[in-house]
Amino acid sequence: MAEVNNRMPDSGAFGLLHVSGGKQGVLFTVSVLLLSISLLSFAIYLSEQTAASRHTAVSLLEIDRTMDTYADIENELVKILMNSLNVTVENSTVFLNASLPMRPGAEEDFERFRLFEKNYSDLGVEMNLTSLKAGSLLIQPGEIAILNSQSDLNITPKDSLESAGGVVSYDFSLTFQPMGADSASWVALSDSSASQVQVHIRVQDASYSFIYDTVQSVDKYNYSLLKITQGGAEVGFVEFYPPSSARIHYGSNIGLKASIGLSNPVYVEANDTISVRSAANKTGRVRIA
Amino acid sequence: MSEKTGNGKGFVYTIDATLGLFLMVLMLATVVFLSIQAEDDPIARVQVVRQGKDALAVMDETGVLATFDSQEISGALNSTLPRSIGAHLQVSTYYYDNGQFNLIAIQDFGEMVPGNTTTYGARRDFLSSRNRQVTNYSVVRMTLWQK
Repeated sequence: MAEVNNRMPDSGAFGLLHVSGGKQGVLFTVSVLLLSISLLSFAIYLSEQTAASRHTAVSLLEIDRTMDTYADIENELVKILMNSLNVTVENSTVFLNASLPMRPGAEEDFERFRLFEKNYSDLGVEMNLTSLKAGSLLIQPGEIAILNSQSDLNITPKDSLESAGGVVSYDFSLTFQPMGADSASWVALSDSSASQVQVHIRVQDASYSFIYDTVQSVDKYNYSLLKITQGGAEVGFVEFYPPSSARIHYGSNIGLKASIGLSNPVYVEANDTISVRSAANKTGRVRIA
Repeated sequence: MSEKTGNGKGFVYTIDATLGLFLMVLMLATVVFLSIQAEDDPIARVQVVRQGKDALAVMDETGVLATFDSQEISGALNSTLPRSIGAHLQVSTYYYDNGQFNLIAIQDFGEMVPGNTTTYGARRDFLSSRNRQVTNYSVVRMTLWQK
């Protein structure tokens, strides 16, 4: 490392300094300096990269946290709904399974969960659950509305090719309480048009003393009515009206299993929104199935 | 260190040694810095947190969380998390009464959190129902660490 020079001091223990005219020491010093500069530059570059990577990771975690909170809330809302109205989708068919009218406590359950999230969530959570509280849903695409009230279940497509035009079949199974129904018959039936919906309706009472089963094509853009009676008195009806709509009316508690067949794959959502706000925000409709 | 006589060799030696020492320290610092950077991978943290959240989601969907059973929860943690990750769960349960949420229980599950380690957190809220009616509202906070 050291270079001996008779007139001037030698290059010292590390050979980094050399004040003589000899070139080897200077070259060595310069190369070591360059090496240290390169090392320092590399370390600085790597440090910047790490800082950027850390920033990306923090952003990813923040997005994850928001998305997970949103998904978690959506999942719990679906669980509450499923306690009253079981909704599943298989490709282009929507299945409903419910005891109607909807459980009175459902509305309270939704409202309490909304309050719980508002009070205890780490993030800013806002929910508008008006539709879910009423058990109202949307079949998408096409915005086919499923509306629940205390004595009716309405399935109402929009008057468009995508919506009303996409309805292919209805399958309703109504179970009345024991001795709750003893007769069913078509009071009005329109089946002459080319635009038809295939309808399968099964009406029975829980004790199986009465079973009525009918398969029928009904006109999408006309009126048809199946009346259900007990001892001559009306206890319910199934009504089909334009465009491709159906209404199930019940006087007392019934069990309903329904499937709605459509021409294209569908999904079900509630016309309600969840908003989760943090460094990353997410707002969306509640996806049910 | 320095030599005042003659041609000033001592002074040069001192400067030379100082510069050499500086370079050595710089080299050592760089090596240590690079090793730390290699160990501290931020994406690895994201991975651990995601694994924790996945485990919580599995336990919620399968109904294990709602059992509040220590053995079932520990079993689910062992089967869903990699062996290299330790986990501790704290479940706070609330009951709605008289227009407000009352904290009725705080339960701990899983392993104890070691003192000297980096930990990560995950959270999930879940409901418990009885007779199709929501009874309790719970928050589970998961602490994760790499063993």
